[in-house]
Amino acid sequence: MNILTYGEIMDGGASVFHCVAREDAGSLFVTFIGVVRVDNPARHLGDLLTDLRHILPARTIESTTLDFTELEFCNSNGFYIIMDIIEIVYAATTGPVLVRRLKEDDWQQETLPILLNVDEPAIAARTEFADVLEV
Amino acid sequence: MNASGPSTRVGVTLRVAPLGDIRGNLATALGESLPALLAMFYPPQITKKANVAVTELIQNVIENIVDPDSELLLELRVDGDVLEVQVRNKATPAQYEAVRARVEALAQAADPKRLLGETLRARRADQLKGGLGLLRLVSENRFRLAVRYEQEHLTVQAAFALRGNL
Repeated sequence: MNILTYGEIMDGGASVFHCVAREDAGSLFVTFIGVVRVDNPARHLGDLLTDLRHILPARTIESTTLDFTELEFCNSNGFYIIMDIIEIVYAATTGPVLVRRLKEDDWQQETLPILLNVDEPAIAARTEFADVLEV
Repeated sequence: MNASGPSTRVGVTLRVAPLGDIRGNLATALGESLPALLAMFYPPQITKKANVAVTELIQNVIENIVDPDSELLLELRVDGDVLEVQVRNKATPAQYEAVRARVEALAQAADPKRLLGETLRARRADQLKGGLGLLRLVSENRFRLAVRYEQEHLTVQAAFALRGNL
């Protein structure tokens, strides 16, 4: 498993969120861990977006997993950066995308599909959800 | 929550003044601590909704302070019937009108999720900050919103009916 890149949000001197992109034998795993509560998350994750834009198109990715099950909270200021990451991943890959999300979380059940833009047929055709119970 | 006896009631009133003295992320501090209190009595479905409501409403206040000497009032209440979060702060008539228009549009929206999606994409295209918090309270968390303006103070109330919804 190769770590391709990662991004981190620091708040009050502590790491509160990180996003890691890993690749293993043609499978891409992007995990979202922690909480997005800062005022301007894009300020913290600009390098991650740049890396993803450069690294992913050069890889042969057959399948992708976007894992939100360890994302504990996302404020509305975080919606755009999640969309940015998702958009880059979908644009740079062609295969199926498995979205792992929490079964009992309003944000992940109601708003995440909007950020993914699953109303778009091309996105919907590639996307499958796996609902996970929170431990 | 007690299914057979009297329902648990929890209420918190918090005043912060002057707003100009706030250092750090007040929305985070309250969004994490108050739901932690509720978690002693209520299931995660309720504490998560309280977290979103407190965070988004406080964030709205902090991003739109008109008078650094003014006060913020937060009231959180949960009982057997309702989860209610109410935030009051000093605001201009124009700010009130903007919030009132947004709340009214949401009340009239046949499909709040569609409205959130359309608003999200339009604001993102224009790189506009904010403007999504109230939308998510309705479309994602099914809160009912109410807004009023009295003596230069804006009050936004978010209420989620517990009976029949959990």
